[in-house]
Amino acid sequence: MSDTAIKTASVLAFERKLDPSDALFHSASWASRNDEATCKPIAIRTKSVRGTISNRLKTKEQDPAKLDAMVEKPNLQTVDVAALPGDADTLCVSFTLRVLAGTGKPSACNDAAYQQRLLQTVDGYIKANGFGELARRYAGNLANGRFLWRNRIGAEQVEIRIDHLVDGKAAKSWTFADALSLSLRNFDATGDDLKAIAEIGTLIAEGLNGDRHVLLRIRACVRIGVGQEVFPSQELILDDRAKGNKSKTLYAVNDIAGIHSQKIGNALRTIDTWYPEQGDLGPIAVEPYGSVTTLGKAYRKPKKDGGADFYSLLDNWVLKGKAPGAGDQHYVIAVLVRGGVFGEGG
Amino acid sequence: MSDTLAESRGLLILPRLRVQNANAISSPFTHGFPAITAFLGLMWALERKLAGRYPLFFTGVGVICHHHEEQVATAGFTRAFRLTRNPIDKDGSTAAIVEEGRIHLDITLVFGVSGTVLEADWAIRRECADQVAAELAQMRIAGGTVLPGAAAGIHATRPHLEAFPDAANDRPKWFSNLRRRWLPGFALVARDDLLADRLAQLRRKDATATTLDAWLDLVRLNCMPPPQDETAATEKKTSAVEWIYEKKPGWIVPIPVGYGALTPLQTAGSVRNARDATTPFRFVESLYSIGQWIAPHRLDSWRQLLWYGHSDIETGRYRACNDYIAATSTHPH
Amino acid sequence: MIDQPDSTRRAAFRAAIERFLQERRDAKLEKLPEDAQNREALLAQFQAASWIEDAARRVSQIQAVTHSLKAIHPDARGTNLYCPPALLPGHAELGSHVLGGDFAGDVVGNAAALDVYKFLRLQANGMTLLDALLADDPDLLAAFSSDPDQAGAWCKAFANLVQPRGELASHTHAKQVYWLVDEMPTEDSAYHLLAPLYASSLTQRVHTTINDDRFSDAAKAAREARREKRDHPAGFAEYPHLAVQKLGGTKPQNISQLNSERGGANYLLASLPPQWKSKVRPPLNIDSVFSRFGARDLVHTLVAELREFLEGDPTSIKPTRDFREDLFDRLVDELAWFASELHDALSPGWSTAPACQLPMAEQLWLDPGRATHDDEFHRHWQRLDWPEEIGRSFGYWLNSELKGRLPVGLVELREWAKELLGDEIWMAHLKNLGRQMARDRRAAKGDAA
Repeated sequence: MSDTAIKTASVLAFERKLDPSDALFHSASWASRNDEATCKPIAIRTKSVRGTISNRLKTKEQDPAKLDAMVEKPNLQTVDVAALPGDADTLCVSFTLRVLAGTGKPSACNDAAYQQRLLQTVDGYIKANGFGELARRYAGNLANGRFLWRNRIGAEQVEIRIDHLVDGKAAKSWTFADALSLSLRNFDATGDDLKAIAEIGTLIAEGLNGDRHVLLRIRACVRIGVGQEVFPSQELILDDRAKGNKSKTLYAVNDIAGIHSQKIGNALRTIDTWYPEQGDLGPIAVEPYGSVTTLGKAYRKPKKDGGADFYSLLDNWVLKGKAPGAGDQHYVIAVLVRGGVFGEGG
Repeated sequence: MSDTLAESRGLLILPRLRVQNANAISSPFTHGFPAITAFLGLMWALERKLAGRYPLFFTGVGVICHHHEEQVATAGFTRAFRLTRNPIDKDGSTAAIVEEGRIHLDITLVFGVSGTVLEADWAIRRECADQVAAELAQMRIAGGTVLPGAAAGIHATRPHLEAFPDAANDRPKWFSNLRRRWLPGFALVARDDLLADRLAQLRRKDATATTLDAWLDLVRLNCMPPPQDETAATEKKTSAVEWIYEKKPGWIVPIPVGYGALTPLQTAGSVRNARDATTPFRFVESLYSIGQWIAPHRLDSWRQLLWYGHSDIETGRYRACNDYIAATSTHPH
Repeated sequence: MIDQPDSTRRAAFRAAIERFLQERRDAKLEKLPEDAQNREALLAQFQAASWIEDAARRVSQIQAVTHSLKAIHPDARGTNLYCPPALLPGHAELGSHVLGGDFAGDVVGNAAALDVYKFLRLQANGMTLLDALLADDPDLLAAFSSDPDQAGAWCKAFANLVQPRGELASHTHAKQVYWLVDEMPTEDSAYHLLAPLYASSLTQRVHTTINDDRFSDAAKAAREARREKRDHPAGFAEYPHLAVQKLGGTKPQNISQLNSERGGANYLLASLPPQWKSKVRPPLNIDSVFSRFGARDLVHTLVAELREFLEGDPTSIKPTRDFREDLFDRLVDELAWFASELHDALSPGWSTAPACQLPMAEQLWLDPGRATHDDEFHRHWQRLDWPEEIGRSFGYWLNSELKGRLPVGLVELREWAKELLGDEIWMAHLKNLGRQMARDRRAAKGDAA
């Protein structure tokens, strides 16, 4: 296995194999949450805010008269907000998830010998493990509503329904009546939930394995209270002039507030519990360097003598035949499911 | 490779696809709709995926856009792209942002096709169309994801594969029937003729005018005072002069149409870090022309709709072509 | 190219070089205190021979280009190209070739060596030093040094400025597309791999043109004249939906010299399709949609044409019949477009609003989505008796539009309705809709169950 002639392909890229849509926001009353015809789209509103003077004042501005003048002429800004209407206490978040086959098969690879070795490696993993462990965790993140992000915090109740769509119809459905009871910190569930997650996991694994086309529809109903604020994705706009005086822009599709598909994907692949030096953070998203954007930190840093980052692990595994531990194997395969451009370049 | 659309025997129609997060930046000079070359690439990839399953060959692809939602911020004089994330580097610091424009689209794709499956009965053709749609759903369209289920509402029709009617006389009516199902929407057609005309027009005034001058002149909104003699004739200098915007011959847009070579063809495997070592390689730049968005019911024939690839290896011109003008002047139907 | 040594030309090259070095030297000297110890060293550094020697060494750190890679992706490293536009094939399409001999070169590489590039861009004898040395201009060689070998060696080093560095290379972050050059997409051998580079010199021209149109004094004067409704010798131009993309983020200099000069701003012109949806309003508070239909510009024009035609020649010879048929087809097409807009833009069930005063037939026609959840409405729709009524309404409306001049009697009235109803396309479309509707209802029922 340790043929030293093989090098990492300089051009190497993979397409993502879990392909979620944007999630869209509707409002409903808890009692009639399952009557989709009565649900109304949630739109983004623009709200004026007075930017208060809170930054440290320059010495010359510390003159009280000047300060008064500044407070009287505050920085008028607008922000986007989204909220439930006055007659609805429930946020409904829905999206679809397509599961694609072909994990480990590059969309671009310019080294046939490397590609062959890579495919052997991935095949070896699949023969030994299947996609069961990864799929169970992806399913867990559907069931626990991690994809709701901030909308999950402070919810009174969260119910999640998952449909397996075949020819546009639900061939089978699962309901998690109390998604809040499923922890975000681990993938342990019990009783009926455990069974349902196992079934969904099996389905996702079949999709990844190419046994069948798998398309899921996910709908979460979040009871948060009448008129409460909801949290769509925030957009990043680099050009200040294009932003105007708006300091926060929220995402909407056809005037319906929503969460970016990228962010849904990030939540679904938050399954990495195998990274080194874990504190009490729990699972992190599968990323080549274990980076967590919100913390501005990378948990899988490359090191001279074999780091736990994706590149080090993959090179050791594919080039040198040194398989990492079971957890890191799951991690490497999960990065391939995530996709990306990983070529050596240079 | 021929320089006209290859002989087609029918159309394969994939109505009302919802595509999410397609590339809105189609070239270094254009935004607002994916490059037509991306649809050619899709067509070639699709034929490869279907190889051996059905005797079906693609000759060209047409795109009708029913709805679009580009992810841009519009508060300023110019637009900026709305980005989705702040990537971070291996040390946790913010990584360089590569601005990727995104657009959501509702489109109908129309493929010109040939092959014996067109002679098959209704059920087989339907199955074939469904298979193509299923295959397409697993692929990316111009970098975007195909959302399941056609766009909501009453227009949601199934994919269908239709042979041209045998009698040439029946074809206009047949095409009229089809094109009405593509409303409301706009199809992209090539208007290289407008670019050539504008260049000739500019050169009458200024012999040094270039294709770039003509291109920009066509795609921008020119605002002028009315011709001198009219104003002089009407009233005194004191009277108000109403400036006028130049009227465009339709919804004219700048589009990338393919690539022009910068180097000779390099033998396969000779360029480091090429995507493979078995395909000849060439450095190129984008080439641009003029396109028009036209309502489908203004199309006389399917030939006006379809785009196909044409390569002139000698001069290094790799072009997406469309016969809108040729089909108008020589074959009204 | 240049045969005889020419002392005037040599002197002109020499003068340009001396002036350049003197300016740079003086700028540096100004910043030094009078008594600085390194004054002498600085003076020596700007001696022509030693400066050129050093520059000939440093030139390897930069490359003059017309086409760059990093603008495609900031992490991509590979071949950049210097392709004089005049040497590119003259395609009819827009490409760098349109620049001809007049173009701005770009520079990639170490920004600290940019002075070498500025040196080579010096103008003398109607050309740049770079042009001259690429042409082995003997007068430039003589201006460089009296030692021909020395001058030749420098010249050779400088000429490398436009050469790609190392072997040809692309990159995993570069764009590389497969292009079918043969008939069969299924054959691996039927493709070329095309790697687009960023046309930096062409971009520079586009950028300055757009900036001139937006910000130049001439453009401002024209805009002002328009605001004040004055005549003016020139117009101005606007670029609707112009977008700006930032290349290189906060460090545009990492991409290239010209990108840095442009502040990293890359203008993008709009190819956007027309947006019709936002203009659609539900037809409320009116008792028929035909008045609204007739108010559309194109419909108005078509009706006027039809009226003119009918007034002119009432005889039904073949060519005129075709002409009338054509006008009529286009009118029906417009009607289909009108209806399809409402189908697409309005949410199903809009016709249940109290402000909807349309007759039932028009509701059935324009709000078919309502049938999905409204049983009574669905039954009525599927009876398909309402299209006849739409046809009649259309006939009445068209008749009244034409009546001003024409004695249109009942016969004609019936004919219009018949033609509309007899329109196979329309009926085929309706039958399609009916089938779709039934499917939607089944799906909706399935969901509820």
